[in-house]
Amino acid sequence: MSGIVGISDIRTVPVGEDLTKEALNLEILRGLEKMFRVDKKVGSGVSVKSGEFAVLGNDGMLSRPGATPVAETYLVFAGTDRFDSKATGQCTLIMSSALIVKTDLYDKTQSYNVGDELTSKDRGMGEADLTKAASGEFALGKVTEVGSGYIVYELYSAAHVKA
Amino acid sequence: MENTGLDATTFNNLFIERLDTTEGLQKTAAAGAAFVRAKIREVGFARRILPPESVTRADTTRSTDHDTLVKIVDIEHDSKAKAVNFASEADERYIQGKRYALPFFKVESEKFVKSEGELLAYDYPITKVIEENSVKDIQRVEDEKFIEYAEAAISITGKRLVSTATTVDRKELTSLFKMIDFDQLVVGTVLMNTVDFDDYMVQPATEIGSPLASEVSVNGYKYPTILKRKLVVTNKHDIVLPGEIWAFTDPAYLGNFFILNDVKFWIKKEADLVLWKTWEYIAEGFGNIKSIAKIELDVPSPIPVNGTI
Repeated sequence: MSGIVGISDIRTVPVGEDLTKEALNLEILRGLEKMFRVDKKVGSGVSVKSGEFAVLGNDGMLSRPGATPVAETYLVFAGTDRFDSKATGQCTLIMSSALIVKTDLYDKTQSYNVGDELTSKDRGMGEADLTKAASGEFALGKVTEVGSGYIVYELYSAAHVKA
Repeated sequence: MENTGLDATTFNNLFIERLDTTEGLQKTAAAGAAFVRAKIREVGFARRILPPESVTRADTTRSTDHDTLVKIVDIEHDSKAKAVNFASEADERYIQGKRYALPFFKVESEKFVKSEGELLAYDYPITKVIEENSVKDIQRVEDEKFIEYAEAAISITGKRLVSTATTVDRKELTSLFKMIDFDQLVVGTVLMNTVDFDDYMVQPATEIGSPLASEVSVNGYKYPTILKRKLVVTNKHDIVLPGEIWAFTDPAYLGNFFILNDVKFWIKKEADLVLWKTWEYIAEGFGNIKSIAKIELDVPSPIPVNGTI
């Protein structure tokens, strides 16, 4: 039972989080069994969490999305907030896999409809979540359900340019 | 430490004499620890709502940053079933556990010093002295932290209802319970102070029925439950303020209270001075912050101002 850990303040008494609340940052509803999980090195100082998106650069390192969406943007399955990521210097991406995903990590300033295409880009605050894709931008998936405080989207197996 | 059959002065004399030998000191310290443990269990309300569990070092985890200990406790993970067509299938779920950490801290009494001569002047047993100034202080800290963490929980969940009612009655209690019932939890314990409990006993026969009203008028409300929930009444009005009624779920859905090793009692005699102190390492807190609710009533001060309340 004993070991060495760091401590998350919000989950240390007095607990500052409703731990019974369903975690919706990344809930994969379809495709878990066959999706490709691939570890990639994380760039210096970069942090991304599960459910966010990371960009794979030419140097093989991951960074947070820039202002212009790129095709090499991947869904993060296990982020840099984990001990194993700290140890390996890598985080786990989902690559080349079509999935159905439920998440609450999206641009909530926008309103969504089923069929809206989604991308991930820095909107001025270093965001790495999903937002609506504009024409000519690489789209990573499309909305299949709009819920209260969450969306369900279909993740494309490969990004394509939104018409 | 028991003084059965002895008058207080004789008991105190024997107690002090025993401290003059190493063996006597060890026996007294052991008996003192047992006495303190027993008494703490009796008087604190936190322990009656969230019974403590003993843990050892092996059950705890240390930090990389400092020399303290925490115990990490699992929270039940999310899951749900779904109605689907024959040809369809339910959603998938990659299970991710949730946990919370309870840091241990020390609760320690003051180090008490008294000359043996002055101890002999007490006409009540020295065990009573220890109880008055060690046990009560320690369990008071446990209760204070318990309410402090409960306040922190309701500040996040919003389960704090401010009522214009001036006394507690069944309607106010059910309003309190609903805040917990709504989250598919069940209230296990109600905590109030003696002032509000006094008010509860004043309910008319039209409200609680003649038999109970008659009984309460003669014997007071003597049941261990209230509306089927365990009732805990405290006289610590500065911790549980008048008008504040708390509701907690059963311990399994509430949180944890751990005691590392056991309560320690130390005593020694230095020349004619007897010194003693008591301490324990505990961790207490709530993993399920939804499991706590409070109602605040608009009760008048129980102490008259210029002769009126």
